[in-house]
Amino acid sequence: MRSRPTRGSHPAWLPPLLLCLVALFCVLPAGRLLLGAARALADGGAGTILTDAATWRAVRNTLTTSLAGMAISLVLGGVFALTLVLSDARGKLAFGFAFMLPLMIPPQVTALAWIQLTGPSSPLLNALGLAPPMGSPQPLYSLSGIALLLGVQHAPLVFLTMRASLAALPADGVEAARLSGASPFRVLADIVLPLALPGIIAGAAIAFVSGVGNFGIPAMLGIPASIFVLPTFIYSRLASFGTGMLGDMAMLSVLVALIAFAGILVQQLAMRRRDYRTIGLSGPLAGFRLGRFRPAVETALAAIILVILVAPLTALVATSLVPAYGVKLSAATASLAAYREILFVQSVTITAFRNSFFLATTAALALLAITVPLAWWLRQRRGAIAIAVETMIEIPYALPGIVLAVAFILLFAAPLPFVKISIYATIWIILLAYISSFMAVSLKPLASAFSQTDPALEEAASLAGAGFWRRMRDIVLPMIAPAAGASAIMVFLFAVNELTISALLWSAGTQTLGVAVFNLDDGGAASLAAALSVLIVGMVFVLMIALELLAGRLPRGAIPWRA
Amino acid sequence: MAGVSIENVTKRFGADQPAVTGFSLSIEPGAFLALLGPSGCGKTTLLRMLAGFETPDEGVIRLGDRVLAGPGQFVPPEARNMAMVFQSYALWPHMSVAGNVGYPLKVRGIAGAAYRDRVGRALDAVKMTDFASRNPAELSGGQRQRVALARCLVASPEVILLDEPLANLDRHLRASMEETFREFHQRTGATMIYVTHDQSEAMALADTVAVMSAGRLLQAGAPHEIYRRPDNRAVAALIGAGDVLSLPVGDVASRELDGAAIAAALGGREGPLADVLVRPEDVLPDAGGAEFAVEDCVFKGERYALVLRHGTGARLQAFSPERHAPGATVRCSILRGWRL
Repeated sequence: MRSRPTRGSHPAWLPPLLLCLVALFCVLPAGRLLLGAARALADGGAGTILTDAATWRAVRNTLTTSLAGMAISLVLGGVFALTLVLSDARGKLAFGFAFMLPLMIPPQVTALAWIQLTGPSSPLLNALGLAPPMGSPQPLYSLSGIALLLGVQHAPLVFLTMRASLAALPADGVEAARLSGASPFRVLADIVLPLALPGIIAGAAIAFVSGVGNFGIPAMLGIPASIFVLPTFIYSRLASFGTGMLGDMAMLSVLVALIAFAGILVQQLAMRRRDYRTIGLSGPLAGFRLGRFRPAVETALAAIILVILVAPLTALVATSLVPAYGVKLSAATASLAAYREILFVQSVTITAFRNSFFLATTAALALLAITVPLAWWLRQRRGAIAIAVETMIEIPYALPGIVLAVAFILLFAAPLPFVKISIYATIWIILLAYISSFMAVSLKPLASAFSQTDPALEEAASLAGAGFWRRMRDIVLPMIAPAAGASAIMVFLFAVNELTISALLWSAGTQTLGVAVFNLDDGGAASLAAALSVLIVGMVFVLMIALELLAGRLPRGAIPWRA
Repeated sequence: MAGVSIENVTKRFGADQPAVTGFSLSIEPGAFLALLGPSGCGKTTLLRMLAGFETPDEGVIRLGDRVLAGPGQFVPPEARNMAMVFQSYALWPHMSVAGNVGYPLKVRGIAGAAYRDRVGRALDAVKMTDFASRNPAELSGGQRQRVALARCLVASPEVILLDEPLANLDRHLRASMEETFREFHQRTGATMIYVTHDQSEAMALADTVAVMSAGRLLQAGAPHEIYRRPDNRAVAALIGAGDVLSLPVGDVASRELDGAAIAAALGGREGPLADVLVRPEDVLPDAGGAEFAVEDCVFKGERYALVLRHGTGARLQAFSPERHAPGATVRCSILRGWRL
């Protein structure tokens, strides 16, 4: 009833402008990619790449690692979600936050940390005297290694969706089952899991899609052992053959996108079935007492956190303190030389810091300028057009980074029409790709803020005599300011951690932090790469804490890792 | 002050049945009009069209001689010089009580002593002076309501719209807020349009009640008119308690039926049947009246509510100071009835 637009409530040029921006950033890249793939197919160039055995090996590797990684995510995330939501284990907040961290740590940093943890040169294992003998292969440079790390990296995604669907369970239904005489395990099997199943399927599908699109982990673990998944296959082909193979790469990118969209489709279908919430009252499930098993369960949770988070990060810190390759780490030999090197000496890393900060800040602010009016207008508009716009914004976010990067190369490889300026190989192409990719990230907190503020607040200002700009300044902006802050921090976090897009789009002088970690490790400078990674993890941690502190003033759903 | 005229206004949302259909009503300057109807009857949509939050698809809305909305014409809400009390009160959480109340003045560029004076007077009128520097979040429901009212008052609007302003308050508070609204109307003399689904609220406050159902205006008139002389069965069913009896009243010109006419009809006269509305308070115990069987008797505190059944099968609600066991027989006469 309250959804109709009102003439005169906003400047007439606002909706067309917003629609143009969304079309430019969200529809154009995907469209250009499809066009490129179609042209390549029509030219018959498809023959070579689609009959190439290496292509199909990469497809098989992608599916194997993503599915195995999904299984690992499902087990880890499921155990944490069930225990933290349903049981009376202590320290839920701390466990939840610690379990979430791997998701926000850039994948290449995760990979580097695990490489430093295992293998013959591990400073941690060496210090403990547990390292495998020198010369033995790094066990993580394998398909199972890639699958394991994908599993750890994306377990929080399963955890989040499962936690959300468990929290929405009808508490009275569980209580009724208990009163009917069902034991806690019967309730779990007969009531909780069936009701949470759509959430479990959706979480698994997201983990799979993220595995398909992940670049950092297979790049760090697979490329040294010549194991390629589709994103690294596209990357290495482009690196060795340049833009001459763009048509083929467009086709491969469409293939990756198709696999990813199949996963998203499964997730959407699963979530659509999830309308149990309307039955019964959902509330805290004060259900399952662990009793005498409680210390054991808590120890097990702590042990998992130790293995998947604390140990790799400790190894990373240890490596960053090693003074020179091969030197055994001890209290006497530890040195901060690597930090000094990356912060003050190496121009490569200094430039990377500057570039990443510039990209993240500019993308966050530019996006706010688009998404604040957009979220406002979508709330006014609703209906079919609004749904279409929201779907368009999801496209670049759902596309694996490598696919979006290929789309941007296709768009900007030739100079821009009319102005004859090329932004290819400049920092601006990376910025535009970030704006496209993170528009959904930026919009989300703002959209939930608007959906949770009473439209009457603005209507009251309107009747008080305030026109559009006045209302924006006096009423709308002050009310959504916390959400806008969260939106900017989220985009900054995503952008500063980003590797995949910049790995394809960077050139001399425009490298990002992600690219710098990757290149330093690739060049054998393990302790510099580790030191840079430690700084990145520290920064991620600080930003997440900042969001936590802001959380009290934010609408529900603004921060992805909070229930 | 200016009157509001609504001419043949229709509003559709999508392809559904229109929310408001062919609504016409003229509201006198300084009137207190209640738009009364069940939820979903289109009364809020009509109010939002008056405010300018919705545009009518057909018809014209005028304030005095000025066209607010009509074919090709539309005055945005900020230029209508109206004010509204929202169901949710719509106080801005980031402004103090005084900031909320003073905002309409601020937008009009009023500052300094004039601003302070008018905000002070508005707060004083609703007895909220002591709360001027509080945040809306620190106030109770009734206090928020009064701040919202002060915000309406401050810019001396020509029309004040109220969208179910008492819906979120408890019963005790409603009575005192009704009193506040009445005083407010007397003091300001502004035209007030009040949307409610609560008929006792509408009757107590308004000088005109407009009854709506399914997007249409059924009847508009003074509260006692609507209650005593409903135009048709739909209005009779919406307003007040009572029963519609099918009685052979014979050829009476007047729609008003006295006790004798009804007694005669109940006595078993032959003839064409007519619908007659009987209010429960018009059914009185009378040793010489007709015989009724008591079907139900419920204690309501100040009295008992009876359900009676006449030998002809007619069902009747009545009040009684004392209890009657179900199954007992009582004799009652009917004071008056209204032919629909």
